[in-house]
Amino acid sequence: MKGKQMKAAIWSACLLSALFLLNGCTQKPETTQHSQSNENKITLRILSVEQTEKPEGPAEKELADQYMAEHPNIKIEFIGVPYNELYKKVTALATGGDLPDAFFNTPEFMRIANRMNAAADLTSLLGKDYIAEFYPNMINEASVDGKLQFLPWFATPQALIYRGDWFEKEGLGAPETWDDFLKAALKLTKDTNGDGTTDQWGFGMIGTRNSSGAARFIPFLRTFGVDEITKDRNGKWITELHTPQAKEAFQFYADLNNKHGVVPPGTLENGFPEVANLMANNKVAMIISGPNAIGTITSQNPNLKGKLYSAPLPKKERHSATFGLFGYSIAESSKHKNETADFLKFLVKKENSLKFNAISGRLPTKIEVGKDQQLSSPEFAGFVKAIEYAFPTPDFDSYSQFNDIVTEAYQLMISKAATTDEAINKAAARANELISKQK
Amino acid sequence: MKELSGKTHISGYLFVLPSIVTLMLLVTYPLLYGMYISFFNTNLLNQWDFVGFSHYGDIFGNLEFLQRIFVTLKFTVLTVGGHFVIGLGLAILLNRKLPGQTLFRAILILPWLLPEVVVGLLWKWLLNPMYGLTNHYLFKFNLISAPVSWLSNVDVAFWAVVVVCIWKGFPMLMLMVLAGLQTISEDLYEAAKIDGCTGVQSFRFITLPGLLPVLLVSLILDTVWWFKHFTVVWLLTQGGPANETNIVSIDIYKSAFEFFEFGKAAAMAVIVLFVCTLIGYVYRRMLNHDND
Repeated sequence: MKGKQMKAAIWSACLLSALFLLNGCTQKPETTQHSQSNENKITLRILSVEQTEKPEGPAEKELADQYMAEHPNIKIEFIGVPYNELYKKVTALATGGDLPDAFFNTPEFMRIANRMNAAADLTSLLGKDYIAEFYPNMINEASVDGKLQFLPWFATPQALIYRGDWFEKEGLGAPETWDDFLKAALKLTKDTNGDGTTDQWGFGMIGTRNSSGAARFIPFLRTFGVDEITKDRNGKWITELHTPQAKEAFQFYADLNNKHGVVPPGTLENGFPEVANLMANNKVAMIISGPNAIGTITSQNPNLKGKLYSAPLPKKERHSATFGLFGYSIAESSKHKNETADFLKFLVKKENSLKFNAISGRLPTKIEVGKDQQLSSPEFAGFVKAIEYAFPTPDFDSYSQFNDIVTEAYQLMISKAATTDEAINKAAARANELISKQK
Repeated sequence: MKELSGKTHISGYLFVLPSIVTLMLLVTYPLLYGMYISFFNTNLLNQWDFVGFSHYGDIFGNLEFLQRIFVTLKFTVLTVGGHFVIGLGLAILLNRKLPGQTLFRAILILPWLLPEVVVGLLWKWLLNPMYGLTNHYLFKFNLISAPVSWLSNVDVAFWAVVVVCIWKGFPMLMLMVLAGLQTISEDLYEAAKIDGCTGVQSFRFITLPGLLPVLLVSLILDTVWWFKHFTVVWLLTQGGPANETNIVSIDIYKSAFEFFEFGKAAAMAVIVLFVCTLIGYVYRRMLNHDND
């Protein structure tokens, strides 16, 4: 009995061992394959402003999904950050040594990022032949000391967006000068329902004290022939914020609200989302913004498709615009620079740039794409024209502080907390203090 | 015996070691690091230019920073004052046996439970001049004839921000006082009643002295909290219009994250730390009579 039990146990053990072995043999290749595919899969982390905006975010995600379908070994993970928080986030991540593979960058911030050694030199990574496919002035705008800091993905030059249908109805043309602009704004500020209160305004002013307000005001200021900061003949930095032209510009801006009443209530708290919302709700006739505003407004109110026209900013002395250039830097610390570069190249491919433009209104940066018919519609023609007047961002280290300097000045005037002279003298004093600290 | 006491001695240190290490890592180190940064011009990565006390010199040489401190003190006094008046009043009401007491306690605590970001955005829309409910009802009752820009108008923006911050913070004080009230024995009130005390006299001689320890702690916590407050004010006005609500925490934030002057921002933060410590010390000296 004992012997039989022993035999059964031995046979059972042999059978089990055989089963395990067989199972092991059949399972092994699969497991290896699986672990290999996991090992080969590369995850690209991308810090994106677009992910916090609509319709840009879903459009960018769709492009990433398309790229991942074409490249099964790549996984793209977006980290969303609002534009007004971008610089802080990049600084915090760089300080913590946790920068993702690519991060959103702008000409205002790229010098700071460059000093932190945060961005890789894209000139050597992408090659000069490839870079030559882009508008040269945009490449200059995205470079520091001849090194490309970020691949320009799209431009959002500031221009005038106006209700083409209302202008046509009133027999108005696109404003060429600020006088034309004021006439149109006065004509389009009205009580449309006859209840005795104004419910439609000529100009949706963005009066917040942040980069959004400054992005509108600085090109406006330049149309009066004023450079907030520039170099004199000797190459020394100077500001023109104390000049009579500057005074005239600030006064005109404040008067739109305080004297002419062509601006809706809440000027100083109205940022881009509020003003875009007002335009989408047929409350304002004109705003100063980039082409992305068209996508934002029409996504809120599809009835406005084809009714929003664009024109370069009206002039006093000259037309002016910022490039409003945005793109991605590849982090110096990234272990997947080539793979990230390949994805960035995919984003700016002709078909993808045009697709993104159609959804978001943002202008492409490659010469070949810029010639496309899609960009000659009344919606975009003004923006394309505005790029001709775009000025390069001054390569002054603390340039981003000028955003606060000019926006503080117009807030002081609009709120009547200071006279024009007090406001511009304070602005000039702050600018001169910055200049004196510049090494 | 000696051996036993030695062992107890070591085990005592071992017991407090985790707390000491945690405190060193989470409080002492950041504090000292912040002070260290204040002596440099730095981008926190690869630029560390030692500048000594020059940031402190710049700050105190600039009248605007002192104005910010003044605005912050004004904001803190009004906000904390509002919390005390409303918090104390409601706590006394809720301490009485009234119908629906539990429901009111639950409702009144809501502002404190909401995250500050939600409160900021909620009130920003309530105070919106075009679509806000505040103006809507003021129009409806013919109290205004044109929209009021609550957060854009220099005459009202500061007060609007204070009202929102009072709304956000009063429940904390209400709860503290309510807890304090419930520790005062009913016997004292009964005795006072027998002695012929009026309601006001009971409040003056029983309630207030009984609440003093709670009030002292609440006052210090609330003052320090709102002196360095940032979120709600930033969301509502970003310090505007025209610096009207520009409290010191907004200046620090902008110096660090908009102007990238981390050294200067750290110096300002160190000054705020000293101001907060001073406030706590003054309160304790003024109110803690037990130690006199």
